[in-house]
Amino acid sequence: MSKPSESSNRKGGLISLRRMARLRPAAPWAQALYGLAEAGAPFVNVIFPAFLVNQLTSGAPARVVWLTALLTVLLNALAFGVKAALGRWREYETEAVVRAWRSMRGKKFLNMDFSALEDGEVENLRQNVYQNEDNFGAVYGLLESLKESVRNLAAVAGALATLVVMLASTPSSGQGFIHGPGSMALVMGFCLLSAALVFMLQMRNGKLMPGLMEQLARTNQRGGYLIGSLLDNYPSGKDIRIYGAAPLVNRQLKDMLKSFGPMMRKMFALNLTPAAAGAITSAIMGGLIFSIVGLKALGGGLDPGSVVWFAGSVQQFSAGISALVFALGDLNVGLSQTSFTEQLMALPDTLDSGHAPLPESRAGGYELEIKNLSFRYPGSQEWVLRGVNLNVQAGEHLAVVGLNGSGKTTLIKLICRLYKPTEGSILLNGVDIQTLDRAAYLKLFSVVFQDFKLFSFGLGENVAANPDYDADRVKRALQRADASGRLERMPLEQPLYRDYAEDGVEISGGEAQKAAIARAIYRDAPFVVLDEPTAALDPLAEQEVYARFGDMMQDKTALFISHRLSSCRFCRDIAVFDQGSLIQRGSHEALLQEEGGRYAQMWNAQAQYYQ
Amino acid sequence: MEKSGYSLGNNLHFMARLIRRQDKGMFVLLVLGALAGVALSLAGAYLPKLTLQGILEGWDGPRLIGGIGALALVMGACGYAQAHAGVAYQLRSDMARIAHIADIQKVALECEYSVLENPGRRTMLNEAMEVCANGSPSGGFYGFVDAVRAALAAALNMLAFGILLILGLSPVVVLVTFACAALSAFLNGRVARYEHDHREQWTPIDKKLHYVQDSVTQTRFGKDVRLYQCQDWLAARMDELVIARLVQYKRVLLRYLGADGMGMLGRLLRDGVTMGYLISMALSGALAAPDLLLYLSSASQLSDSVGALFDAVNRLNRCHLKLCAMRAFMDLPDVQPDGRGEAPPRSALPPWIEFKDVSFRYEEGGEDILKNISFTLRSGEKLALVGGNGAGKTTLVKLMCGFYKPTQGQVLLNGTPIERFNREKLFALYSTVFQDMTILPLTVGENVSMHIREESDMGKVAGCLERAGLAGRFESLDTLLVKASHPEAQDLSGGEAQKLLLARALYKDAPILILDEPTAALDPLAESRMYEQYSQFTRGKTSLFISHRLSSTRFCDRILYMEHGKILESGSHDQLMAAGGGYAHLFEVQSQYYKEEGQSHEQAV
Repeated sequence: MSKPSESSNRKGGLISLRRMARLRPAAPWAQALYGLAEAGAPFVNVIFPAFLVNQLTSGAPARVVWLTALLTVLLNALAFGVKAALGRWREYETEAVVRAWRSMRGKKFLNMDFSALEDGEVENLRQNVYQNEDNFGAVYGLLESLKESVRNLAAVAGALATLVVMLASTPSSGQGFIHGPGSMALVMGFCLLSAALVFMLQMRNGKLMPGLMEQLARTNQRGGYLIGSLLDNYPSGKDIRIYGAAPLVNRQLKDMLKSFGPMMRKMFALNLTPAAAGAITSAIMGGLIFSIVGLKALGGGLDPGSVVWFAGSVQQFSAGISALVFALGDLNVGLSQTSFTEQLMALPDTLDSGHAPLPESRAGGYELEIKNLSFRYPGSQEWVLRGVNLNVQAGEHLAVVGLNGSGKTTLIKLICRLYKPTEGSILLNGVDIQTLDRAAYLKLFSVVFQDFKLFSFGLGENVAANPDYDADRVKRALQRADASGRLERMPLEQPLYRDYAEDGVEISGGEAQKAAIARAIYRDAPFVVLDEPTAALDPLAEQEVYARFGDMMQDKTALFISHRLSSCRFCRDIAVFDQGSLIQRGSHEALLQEEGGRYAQMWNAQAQYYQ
Repeated sequence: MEKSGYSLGNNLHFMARLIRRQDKGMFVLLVLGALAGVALSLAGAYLPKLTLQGILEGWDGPRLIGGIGALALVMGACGYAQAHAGVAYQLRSDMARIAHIADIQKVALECEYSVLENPGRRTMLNEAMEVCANGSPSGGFYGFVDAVRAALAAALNMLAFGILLILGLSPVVVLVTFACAALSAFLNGRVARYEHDHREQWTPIDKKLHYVQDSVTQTRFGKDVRLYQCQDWLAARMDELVIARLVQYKRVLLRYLGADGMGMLGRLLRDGVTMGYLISMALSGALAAPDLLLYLSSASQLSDSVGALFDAVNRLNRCHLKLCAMRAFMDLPDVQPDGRGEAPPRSALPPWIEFKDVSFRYEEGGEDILKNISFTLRSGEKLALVGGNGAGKTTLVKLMCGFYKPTQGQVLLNGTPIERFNREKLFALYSTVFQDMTILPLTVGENVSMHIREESDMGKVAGCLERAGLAGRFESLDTLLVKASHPEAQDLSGGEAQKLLLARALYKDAPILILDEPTAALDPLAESRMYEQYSQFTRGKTSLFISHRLSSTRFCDRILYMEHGKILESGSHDQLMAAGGGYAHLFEVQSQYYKEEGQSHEQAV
């Protein structure tokens, strides 16, 4: 994946904001309104003191002064109240957006093609997304900088408006530059100039920051992954202690920390320059403006109240400009930080285009035909499967065996449409499976993968793979998978594992395997695929599963992968794979006859110890 | 509120010590930034007053400009100082935080393994890590340091403007301002306490959300989610949980809103009193217009800074609690190893291990996983451990390695209870291959040697990989593993991983070799190769082999058969077969399919 350009980063970021608006329409409004309230509130204390000063210096009647004072107090309190209420509303909407955003991400991962999910680049993207959004609070930051931008834009616009009004209604009096309109123009000119300077500095910052942040994220990635995996995958602690690997791990972390130093220093310089420039130009501007305004007033060109108003507006303007530049800069950074999620969301939902209904099932059911199938993983040169031709008749029980790396598991993944063939095709009753509606096709399969996972939900939900389930049917499935075992006695609402529900229970690897088998049984699909289903089971439990095979797969088509060739005794037909090709096919007896054949070699290697 | 084990002062002291160790300059920046901030605010408040005063008193031009210029200079210098100090402080706080992550990580690596396996302790460890990992102002570590800065700055501002108002106006104004801000803070604090006390209403929801949004969407769940078509109901569950979480959030926000309302009334009072004083003094001529300006803005600054101070203190408190959680964990006794213990005795012969009437349970009141286990693993013996799932084999191994202490009885190595030994030196005696396959996101070479490059013998690594059956698999020993950790990293298949783990055990070449299901993912030929080489691997070592594949027992001197935490049988394969007990039954069950004259099973399926 090529590195996105800076402008596409920002464009991507605007897409993020639009996306947030779609998730939660009120959220941008909440930010904006709150920003406006924050901008407006201080103006009470710019405008009203000016009135008070004028009234006091011009000797206005006491009750007028008191009225003005009262109004000031009331308006200030009102502004506070409105700001607070909008603020809380904004907090709620922000939280709602963040949560919905995370759901959106999660749903994307759930729905994308498996081939995309497994892709190393997507995995990298995921790490970056989590890093930026969950650790650095990118989404919060983006919304915050949006609010700040609106606020300061409003403050600046408001201040500018009052200044212009002031300027327009001030008569020029007396001679000299100070008293002419030129001085005011100078003031305004300087304001804009300093704003431009800080703006330019911030933009330069904006160019360099995202790159720096990305570098930070990358350095963080390996270290962060290491730390995270050690905490989540705690059994690794055994190996680390036994092998004394603590110094090794610590060294990785120390290296990562060391690399932070120079990066942080660069960030310091980038952050400091605009801040310092802002502070200094602010001071210069303050001095200049008050001088000019003061001189003008000394000469009688401005009344005292106007001085206050003028000075106050200019201060709002200069503070606003400074803050606006920062806000825009933060917005810039924020927009690029959600670019990872945008990359994620830009991935196609699926490369699948098949919508055809399933072909009619023939008298016996469905037949699977693998025609000249070749496959290699995207981006890899190595062929994992080469020219495989295989027929599985309806109701057939086929064992698939071979050495590690022979392509057995990949074949299953292709049959399950987790990947698409690179060459050749897979046909169901003569129809290319890629053309069929995926959901309907998958309904035909009950699969127990070698690295299956159960959810940390209730037992019943797991077996049915659905929160709505038929309790009797679940019980029957459990009975068939684990008669008189712990699972059969467990209440169906009992959550498994402890990372979801507080009252979850741990189950052993063997129990989990039985639950996975029960899940396949419950589904009751015409095709059953079992990939090493007894790897974690002891001999007795394994025998139980074998004994039930007949029961479980009576009228079904079954594919059975196992290293324990004992299971081949249960299958009428055996397919032997070696380095991606189908090299032998036949019954157990027939294959044993093929002297020097791979099957005979494997069988003898295993059976010799049991004689 | 629950009792936290450490006082706020204690935590301040702890953090100060930590920062002093890490970065003394931060204290300077802290104070400098705060002082510069106060000076900036004061100068900013005086500027309009001075100007107006000059105008009303009719100063001459140069005098006015001079005064304004001086203030502007102060503002420029202080503004710069504040910016510099602020940015520097922020960045250094982050560095300190990141450095502390390493400290927590050290704990995760060096504590007793039993701490990691205990779910409660593990949660505490995760929380401690979260305190440091969170780099936002709400994170425990960073937030604490940031809140100290905010508090100091606010306090100084408060002091400056408070004194100004007391001297120039009236202490009453200051008092009322302070009281109203205190009231506001108190009300907010009450809601914060409510939030803290009721967090069990939503932390479970957050945990569930994390699981559904982040865990279940991981690659390892990918196949099952798709094959069993769980996408829709998982998505629906996400939505339900988000709604539930927001309901809780709204409840808390509404309470805050209530506090805000009271705060508004407080403001009315405060502003009313202040304005009252100012106007009456101005109307009676006791106060000139410029001073009115000054005191108006000072009153505003004062109330802002009092509010900011209370805010900062609240934040400080919240972060303080999080820090307490972190320190409470770090100070647990079994978390920091004390490095004590003697070295195991050296001897020319490989060690022998004895279990003397050992019983074990994980928790008080839990069931015994091991019951009165007694056996001796003799020096140089090859022992096989056999039994059904749940028999207690893995637990026995954990006790043998010294990860847990027996609840009753003793585990002895060369006659000495292993509890007496220094952990590191004890572990040095073992090479293990455990069932959970630990591949670290590092290079192949590092995964085998488990040591840094300078202390690894790459030639030996290559040799061990070859002996384990991985010759030629990797282009270079610097190939990175674990795809998710790096764009160029690779993943290993189950079989490859198992072979790498064997290479790791061979590299270490320790006198005790423990293999727990080391062939589960191996194909028949690789499995057979491992058995054939087993006597080579175990020459001159004491070894323990656990496997469900009873073919492995042919290569061991003796077999222990376990059931429900007890050792029921002990003997050689032939002896146990002749005895016709549990082991014999197990062997028959597994071997029936491999026997030449076995009945044809074709009709079974």
